[in-house]
Amino acid sequence: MTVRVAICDGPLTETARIQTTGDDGAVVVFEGIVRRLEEGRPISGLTYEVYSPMAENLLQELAQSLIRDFGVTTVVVEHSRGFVPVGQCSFRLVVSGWHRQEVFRASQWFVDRLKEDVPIWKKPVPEDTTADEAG
Amino acid sequence: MDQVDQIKQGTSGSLRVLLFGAEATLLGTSEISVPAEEGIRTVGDLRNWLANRHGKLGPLMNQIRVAVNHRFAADDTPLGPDDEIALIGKVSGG
Repeated sequence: MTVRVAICDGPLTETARIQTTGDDGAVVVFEGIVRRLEEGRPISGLTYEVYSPMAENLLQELAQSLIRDFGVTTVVVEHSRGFVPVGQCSFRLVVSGWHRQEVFRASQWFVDRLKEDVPIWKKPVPEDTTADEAG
Repeated sequence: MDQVDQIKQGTSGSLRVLLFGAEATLLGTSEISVPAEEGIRTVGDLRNWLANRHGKLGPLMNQIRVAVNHRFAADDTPLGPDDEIALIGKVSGG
């Protein structure tokens, strides 16, 4: 059983790799990508504010819940802090397990809880703002 | 001593409350100090004080949760000057 949680500065560039056990038959990779339109308005990206260490602690607890309650074997979570341009990845969840059913269910549950409980906030950056100005 | 340590310790028994996201934008600050003489003893006291003292937060209060030392806390949770207190409004990660 493997759980890994990381908050990273800026966009997530490298695809997370996981070592499956040989018993695993399914791996789901979910990536959240910054959209060009935020509430109908064009943006250059999103700036993410993270309350540490509470955010990391909660992500770790949610990941442990997937292992305990859904029976998956590996959970890798990465989330950006700071500015992420349009089209780039700000959140990545990788879950592996024996069968696709529990892996899909676990992934959906995790993202729902993340959006409900984890103290991370996005702030839209208007289209004509540079990355430096966005902070 | 980093910023969070300074915030946690406060001064003269006052409480320091961290703000993020919409709440920080609304009040124009990332931190509120609650003087000891306000007599705030619990999370519930703090919520009432915030609603009265910072009226702008009023419409948001029903969706604001309070975290004490990095955990969501019920209204009867006691508060002290050494606690790290944070208002957690509607989150938007992912």
